[in-house]
Amino acid sequence: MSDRSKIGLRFDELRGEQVVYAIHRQDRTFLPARELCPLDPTRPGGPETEIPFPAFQIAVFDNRFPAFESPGGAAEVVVYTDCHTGSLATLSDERAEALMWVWRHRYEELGARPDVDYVMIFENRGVEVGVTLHHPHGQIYGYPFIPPVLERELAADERLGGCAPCELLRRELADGERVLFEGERVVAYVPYAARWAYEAHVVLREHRASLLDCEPLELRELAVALQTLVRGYDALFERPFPYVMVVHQAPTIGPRHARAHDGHVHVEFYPPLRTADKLKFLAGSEQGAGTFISDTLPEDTAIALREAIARAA
Amino acid sequence: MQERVQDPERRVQDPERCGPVTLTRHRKDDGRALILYSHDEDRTGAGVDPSTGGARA
Repeated sequence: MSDRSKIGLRFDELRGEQVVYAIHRQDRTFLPARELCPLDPTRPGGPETEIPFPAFQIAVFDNRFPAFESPGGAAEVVVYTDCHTGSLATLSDERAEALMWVWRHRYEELGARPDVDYVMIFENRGVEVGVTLHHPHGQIYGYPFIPPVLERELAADERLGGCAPCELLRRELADGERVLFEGERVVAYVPYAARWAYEAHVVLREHRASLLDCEPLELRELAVALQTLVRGYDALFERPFPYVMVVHQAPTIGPRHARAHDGHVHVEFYPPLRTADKLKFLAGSEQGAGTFISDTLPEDTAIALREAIARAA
Repeated sequence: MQERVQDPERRVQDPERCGPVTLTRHRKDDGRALILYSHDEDRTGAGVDPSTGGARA
């Protein structure tokens, strides 16, 4: 290893995937004291923060400790609120809907950059998944390449002879056993082959390659569905429920019209808890073979989640 | 340490619209971009810390 530049990519030939080196992230802010939260607004007489305003609604800024940066991609932080406490679930309806538009705007703007092939909007919640700041926020990575999970989704399209999420949604609705709730435009379910005990997918009924293709009412219902699910998660074990949430959309490489079939807006949740106090770890089989071994059946966890969602309603 | 923007009122462009959301672009002293979004109908004040008195940027 000779290149010690700030950010670098190395291709792992054995696994056929990129590894990102961003060694400056070793020094990023780690669970600061409440009064030193960098995502709080900067109040008169208070500590300096990332947002130099006394109040705000939603803020997006370039990550100070980026995994990617121009001209090799992007890394942004999305702060949902200027209130230090709360979560996606506790935002007002209007704020949650506004967040969908912010996501849409960032997808459009980052996706238009020549150094961004894929825009991934995500949220890590809870120390169990490595959160370093508790203030309600998410992140966006603009990858300068197509990452492996998206490659697999595109391969699934090929295998199933069309849009895989469309087909999988059709199957889940036909079966019905794992469906958590259905809206006019959005459906949530525990997938047939869920890897995580309480994994859930929130899927647009209509084929929409990206948030740019969504109607305003779809964005509104997507926000409602995400909040409904997270409130159910929190009710499940009566504790803030850790998860990784990822918005899946079409890649942004090439002309937009050519990408119309290369994505279907859906949001996947990967919660690490398998009981109220037990975590699922990625161990031998998951890391060494890439094969998940689950201790629960999706049909059973779907029942528990439906009940929790009903309690939280 | 976090970098402080010396002139937080400095705006790169006039406000823009994205659906029901208005956005204003700023530039931090270290060159990083900052965008503030506000929603027209954010009537409930969710996310407003009482210590700010509900003031908005």
